[in-house]
Amino acid sequence: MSDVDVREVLETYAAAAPAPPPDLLARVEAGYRRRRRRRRRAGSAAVVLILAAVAVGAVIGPWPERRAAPVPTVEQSGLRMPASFDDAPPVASVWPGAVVEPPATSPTGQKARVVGRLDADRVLVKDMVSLYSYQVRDKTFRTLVTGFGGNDPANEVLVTPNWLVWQVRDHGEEFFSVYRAPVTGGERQLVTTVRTSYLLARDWYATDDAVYWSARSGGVTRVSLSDGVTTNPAELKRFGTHGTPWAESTGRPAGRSSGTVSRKLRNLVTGEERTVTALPDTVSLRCAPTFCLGTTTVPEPLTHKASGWFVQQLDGSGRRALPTTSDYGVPQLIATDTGGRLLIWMDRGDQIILNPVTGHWGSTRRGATSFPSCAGYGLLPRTFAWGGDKPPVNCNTGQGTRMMLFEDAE
Amino acid sequence: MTEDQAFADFVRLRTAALYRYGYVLSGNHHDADDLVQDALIRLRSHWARVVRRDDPTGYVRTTMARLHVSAWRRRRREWLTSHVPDEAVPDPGLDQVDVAGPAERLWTALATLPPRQRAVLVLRFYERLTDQEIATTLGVSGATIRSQAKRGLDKLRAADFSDLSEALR
Repeated sequence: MSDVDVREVLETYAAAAPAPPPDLLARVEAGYRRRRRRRRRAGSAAVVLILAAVAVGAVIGPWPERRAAPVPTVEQSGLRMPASFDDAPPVASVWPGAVVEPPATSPTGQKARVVGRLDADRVLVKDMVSLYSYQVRDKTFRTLVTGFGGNDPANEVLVTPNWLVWQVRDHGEEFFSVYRAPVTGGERQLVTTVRTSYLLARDWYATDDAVYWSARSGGVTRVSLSDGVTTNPAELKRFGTHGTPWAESTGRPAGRSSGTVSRKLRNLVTGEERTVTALPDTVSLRCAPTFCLGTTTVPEPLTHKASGWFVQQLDGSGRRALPTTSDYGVPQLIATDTGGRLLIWMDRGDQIILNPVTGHWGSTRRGATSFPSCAGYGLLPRTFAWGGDKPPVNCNTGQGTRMMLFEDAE
Repeated sequence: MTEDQAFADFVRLRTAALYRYGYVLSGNHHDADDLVQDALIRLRSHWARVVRRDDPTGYVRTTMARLHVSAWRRRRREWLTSHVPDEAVPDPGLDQVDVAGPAERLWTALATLPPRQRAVLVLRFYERLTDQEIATTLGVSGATIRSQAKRGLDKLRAADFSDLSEALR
């Protein structure tokens, strides 16, 4: 029995572990809310004490005014926003070229996942061991790369005009290796091996020449794809990457000790900078190259919900309020290479995708009362997948689901 | 990026690796599912604080290990039911494992270990932590870790792995 290796056995069985359920995030959020409710009940006595303290404070004198003075009305220009989020057309009819029917399994029978767009007819698909070109119309595969260079499958695959770039981590997760292979298929090449935090590398971006990610010590790390040379450009010292060519510099809103606002966007490739203007009442503001999403109210501490959401131009003009409703959670700004989209999770069960620059918007609902059976947002590439309208739909296997690639949804 | 979005991204990106860890920790996908979900719910409650430390993955792994050895959690999982399941529930992970013989026997033997002993062996051999790191993770002393590891290995040896200590070097 001397050939038995516990480590090898554990890793073998770990590799065969089932895939996590696609609705895990929803389950976690539901569990989190239950846990919070329990704690709220348990903390009711503390709330009474706090209220008593507030009452005492009211007797002593008024709290200092912390909100900034109301801003003057801003000329509305450019950006468009629907009056309400009801009666949205289906996403697939608004952006037919951006919505694909992802394959549930790869040619080897493993769970398949769409990880990028190769061209108008083909998407990049990966399973545990290979990358494939998948013809959306014909539903046919062609193997591009087999073997990612490590025990783990490839993560965070990027597609550039000529290369596929991915990262592979070891089990310790302190190191990750960057590989590339021709976008038309072929042998992989090791670019570099780096010791860094995985989370800091999740929003990375690649061109044919280099890959960029946020450095642990601040700023942006640039790695040349041809020779693996790593640099930290001084001009990007105060920026962070977000999976697009546009790095972002952020800071606190003026006069506030909390909240985050964009300060500048800088193009990693061309060096072009765009300055962001946050109006005085802004609590939070995040920007894509073509618009910003912000709020004028402090989010609730536990739910992060806020009212007063708006979009604006980078220079502060053209502010348009999101429809006033309590029927949605926190809107998300999805930055893309060329602009940005809004993703809004509605409490009623569907999701709204909106491009305020073009005014195009759609919903994942299937009629007045039919909502997707599952839904999830993907970071790289920016995608949104949901239970489709052609049964059978199996959210665990991906069968019958639909996926929209934000980059293609103009 | 909002905290919600950052957390959602974390869940999406790290869940597969956490499931693998939960699977070897618990030995079956049902418990792995529970471990990951429970640990992520706890992380969700402390997300802002944990992210400031820049190690949410470590937080979840530590939570999973502690949940695994928690007697309270095991008790909670036992409940009365008015009917019994009438068919076996297959573990989909096992169908994908192309191993047999000693490896399969070792996996089976691991399932007989008490949760704490199994956790110690998983953290030592799968996560490759030192005994001191394991002690920190489980919140016990280094001496406890060494004794738990010895007992676990002794039990594996008793399960016909007579020269296991050599194999583990």
